[in-house]
Amino acid sequence: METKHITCTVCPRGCAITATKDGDVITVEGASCDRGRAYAKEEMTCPKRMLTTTCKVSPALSEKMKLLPVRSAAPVPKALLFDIMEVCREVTVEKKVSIGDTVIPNVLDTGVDIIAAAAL
Amino acid sequence: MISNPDLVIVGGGSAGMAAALEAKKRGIENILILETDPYLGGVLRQCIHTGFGLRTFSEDLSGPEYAARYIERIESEGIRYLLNTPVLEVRPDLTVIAISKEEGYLELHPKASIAATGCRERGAGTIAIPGTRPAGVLTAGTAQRYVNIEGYRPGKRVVILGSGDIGLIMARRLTLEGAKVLCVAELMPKSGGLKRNIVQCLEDFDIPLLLSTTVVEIHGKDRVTAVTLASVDENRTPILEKAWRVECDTLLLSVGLVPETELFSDAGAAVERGNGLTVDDHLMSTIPGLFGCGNAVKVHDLVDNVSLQGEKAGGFAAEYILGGK
Repeated sequence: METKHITCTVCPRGCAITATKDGDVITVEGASCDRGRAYAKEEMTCPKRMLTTTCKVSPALSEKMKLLPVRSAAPVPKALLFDIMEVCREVTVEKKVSIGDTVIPNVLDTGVDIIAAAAL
Repeated sequence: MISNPDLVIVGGGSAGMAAALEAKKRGIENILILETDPYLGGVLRQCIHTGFGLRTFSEDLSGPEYAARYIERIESEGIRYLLNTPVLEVRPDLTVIAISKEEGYLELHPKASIAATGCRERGAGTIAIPGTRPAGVLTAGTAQRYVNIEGYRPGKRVVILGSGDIGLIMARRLTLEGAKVLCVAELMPKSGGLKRNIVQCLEDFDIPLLLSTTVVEIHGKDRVTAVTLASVDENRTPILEKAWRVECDTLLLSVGLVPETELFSDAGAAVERGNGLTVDDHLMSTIPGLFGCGNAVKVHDLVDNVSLQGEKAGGFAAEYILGGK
């Protein structure tokens, strides 16, 4: 049996949740909403986080903006954050993008795209 | 040439844009936003993390995305704004003096104005840390600008003093960018940052949060080489016998925000002890026709609340103008 004290980060309220994993059964106490319960269960199995960072912008494309803010379209496994950062670091944006456009599709086979968080 | 506007909004960040949109909705046609930076959106542009808009849009947006929603509406409503236009002076009769890159010297006589100037960070000068003043001591917001807009990493081994939200956000950001964040020291026995930031920015990366701890000395001649940390007693006095030294090349300060109100207090408007513009329940300052909103009135935790207050101020300013008072 494994017990974890989790501060819920779904909203700024920050409920103090206690989650217990006994075999395949996960019990959650202290969450105020279903999203919080789902979050606690995920924390016990495969914790995920949103990743926000920047990608280089080709100087030929924009003199004003050196960096394009980007983010994962959905939370990605926490264990992969640094590996995904490496991928983002290697990318240079060469063409105009709008907010929400895919910059890196299916990053590291997570099924999640890295998307533009600003227009260029 | 700029025709004389009915409403001048000083600051084109989240407060100012929300105020402009609401005033327009209430029938004020001739609005002018004055923005000192080369873009609208204020500090949101460098806040590339998510957590914005949960209340306003029921979505988890990054700062630039949140700002873009408002910028699009400013454009589509045809609200006039001037970028690269610092306001130099506001007078008690509401005269606004500004210098614009496009329009040159401007002397405006609006029927009402809105102070939406936001806030600034407390810097090294305001917290009196003994020791030298080498390169490598900077505010968390400056570091955020370097990393997210200019593309520089400010250091490799970082100590952060103060656990305000920008400091926490930068602990994560610098860690992801390959720096080693050694610790976050907080003078108070409790962090002032949002819980989710303590979890996602510190605990996720095993960055220690040292409560009741402060920096008592900065070392280094040209560049920071180390800082000395010490625990503080219940009177916030450092216990120097138990101080310890941490080798680092950067000290980030996240030690509070101060409302940016000197333009208005110079005009005679009253301000609160924390420097926030004094406003009544219609968000009007002690100068008739000068309204205030956002972080210029009080430092807010969430941008959603800044937008909400901006909207209210825009509505009250519109009523004031239309009432012909």
